[in-house]
Amino acid sequence: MRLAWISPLEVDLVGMHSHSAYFSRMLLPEIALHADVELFRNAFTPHPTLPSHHYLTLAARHAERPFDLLLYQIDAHPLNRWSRVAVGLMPGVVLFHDFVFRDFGPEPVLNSAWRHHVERFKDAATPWPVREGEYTQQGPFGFREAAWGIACGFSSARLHDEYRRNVTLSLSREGSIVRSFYLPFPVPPASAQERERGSSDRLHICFDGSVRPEHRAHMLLLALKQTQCPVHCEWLVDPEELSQAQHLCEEFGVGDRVSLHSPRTAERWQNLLLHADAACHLAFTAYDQLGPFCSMSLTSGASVVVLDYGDAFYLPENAVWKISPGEYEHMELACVFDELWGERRAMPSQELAFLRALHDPRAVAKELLAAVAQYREVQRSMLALWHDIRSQAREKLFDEAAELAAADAEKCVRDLLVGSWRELGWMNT
Amino acid sequence: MASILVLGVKVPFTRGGADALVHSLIAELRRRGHDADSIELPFQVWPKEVLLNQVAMWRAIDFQNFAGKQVDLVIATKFPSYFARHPRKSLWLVHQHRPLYELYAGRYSDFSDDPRDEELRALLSSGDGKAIAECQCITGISKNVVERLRQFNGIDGTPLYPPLPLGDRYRTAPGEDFVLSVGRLCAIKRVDLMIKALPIVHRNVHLKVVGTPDEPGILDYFNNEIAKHHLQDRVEFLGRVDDATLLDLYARCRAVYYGPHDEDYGYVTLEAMASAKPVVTTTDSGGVLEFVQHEEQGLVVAPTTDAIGHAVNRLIEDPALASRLGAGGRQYIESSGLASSGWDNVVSTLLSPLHHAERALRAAENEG
Repeated sequence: MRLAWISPLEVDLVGMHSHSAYFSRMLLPEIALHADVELFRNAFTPHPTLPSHHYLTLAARHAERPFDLLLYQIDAHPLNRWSRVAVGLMPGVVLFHDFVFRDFGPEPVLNSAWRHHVERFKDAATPWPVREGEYTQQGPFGFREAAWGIACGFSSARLHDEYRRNVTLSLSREGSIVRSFYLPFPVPPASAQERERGSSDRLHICFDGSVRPEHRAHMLLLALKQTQCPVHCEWLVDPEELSQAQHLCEEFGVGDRVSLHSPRTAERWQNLLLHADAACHLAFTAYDQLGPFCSMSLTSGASVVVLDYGDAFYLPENAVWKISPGEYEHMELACVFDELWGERRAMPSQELAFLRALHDPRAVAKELLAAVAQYREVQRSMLALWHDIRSQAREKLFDEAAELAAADAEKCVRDLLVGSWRELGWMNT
Repeated sequence: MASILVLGVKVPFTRGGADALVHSLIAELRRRGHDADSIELPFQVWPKEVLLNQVAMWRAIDFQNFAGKQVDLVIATKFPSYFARHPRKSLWLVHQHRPLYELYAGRYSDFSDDPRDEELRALLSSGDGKAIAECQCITGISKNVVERLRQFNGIDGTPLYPPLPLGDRYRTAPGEDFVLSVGRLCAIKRVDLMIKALPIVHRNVHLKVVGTPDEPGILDYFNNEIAKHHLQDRVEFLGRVDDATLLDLYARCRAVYYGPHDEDYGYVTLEAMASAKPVVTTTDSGGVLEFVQHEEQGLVVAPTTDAIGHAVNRLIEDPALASRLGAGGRQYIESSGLASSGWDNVVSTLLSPLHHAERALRAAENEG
């Protein structure tokens, strides 16, 4: 299978904030063993192991050697906005991470007539939208990206759910059929190392979160102050928030119970997990995705404490401790710490084995390949439609351009333009 | 002596670096005894479809003869002038139509996901490849421009820096309490970053802005920012100024701010350096960074108002630093050949297709 992988790859540049880059790093080695992969991204720098091109050459590359499948990855990172525009260029499978349907779109497509263009795939008689018009956006801007996918994958169960409920106009919908799938975060095996737990004289917890209120650091610090058990917290924080985190700890009087760590990288989080009895992911937000750090925690064997809201609402009850957000949040947290200190039991081996198998990068890669392979036929027919639409677009474009020039001397001007366009090879003679 | 046409593109009522480049080149060709003139066709970017017509117009004109006089060489500069057809064509590329390429999918591009836009992009991009490959001499005004051409169109070219438009007339004087910004007033030049940085810059420092609006509503936007930050007495828009005034402003300013997004080349940078003034620029300013190194000829900072404001403050608070960076710039200009002496290389390179043609003709005669 020839696979075009259209995705941000610059892990070093955007760090863990780019889930697309993280997925690429985790899955490509395995996927490249089973498919003929070419990478497309917003850069000309070569990839160490795979052929890599600028994404604007995708159509030309497809014309040279057709792809069986196009796979786009989209996430909410501001540096990856190009991929949100790119998804409208050629139809393909779209894999969404940490995406907000209610986000504003990238600027060039803020006023896109995407509804008209998606409709053309379903009905060739759909009229071309008026140039530079103001198009009615029935639904959030992010629906545009979801509409362009011939099938859509999600690394967030919440987002998948929202997509199936709300995105009604999409290339992935045919009557009652919705082509979509869920894909768990791959977790590198380092976090799966066996650890000796419960031997320390303190309860070790680690916390991944920003100082922003929705990440609930203040609730955690309050709980650290109130808990009866001897506890120490390792807090992983972005470098630019280190000093604020320091101040917060001092303000709550728990400076001696917290160690700060930075930068927020997957490796550092996995190292912290090696010595942790519990990992806390307390984001109180309907939009942010838990991301790979939570999956790493789940596969580490440590107890995982989450806020029962947003993405975490979809985690299985028997795998995590769920805290209710609100007035008693810090008290519930303190109770969980006390209970963990009392028991400090390891996650049952059967559950742990299941979670590790679920998040194993090789397994996730194979699952992705199996998921997209079933859409090869759909991809083929959509690309044939796309080709027809592009031909019609070219004719329409020439008509519009000639109209602009032909106010007074229609035939003469048109002949002049057409002569030049033919000479350039743009029009057939 | 040859008959040479320099092909330019004119956006009526605006004047930028490309206009200066065309006129300087013609003057230098004439100084060397050539019969040089320019042909400039008006350029419109909106509506987008009209780009096809402008390409076609350049393609349709016969550039080989005018009033019985044979044209020996054409030198194309900006998109779409290089679509002109001529058996001897040189390219001194100022830039291609950037919204199709490196600006695509960003705030400075107007190309959307409309299939007609995508078709338009594909046509113009392939047309660029064909028209530019026809040139016997392919050069660009900076490494940045040449690199884009190589990356997006797979065509190799040579960087050929334009010498300073006012040659050796730049001078310096003690710095006064103002920062100078020079250039067309449009979003991509990011004068707004400097305006919005002023509230954190020492209160005695003013901003003088040279240049005319090149985008609808841009002055309203600037004035709104100025009013919002109560900067009415600290920002002065001078519009277009004559050469003498410009030289004087460069000489007297404390520093020059020039922080465009991915600039092609940036005369302003070199003019500031020739006037021994430090340049405050940004890490994503493209061609500017081919000349300005951080703490050598200026300060290169993040494209944020905070970073720019602090950079200006550093130069205000530390006059010795400002002098050292200014001197570094002047030294670079003197050693680089970018003063008026650099024209010999530019002219001989751009005229190389003529020499090749002459050699080919002689060889044919000898064989005959």
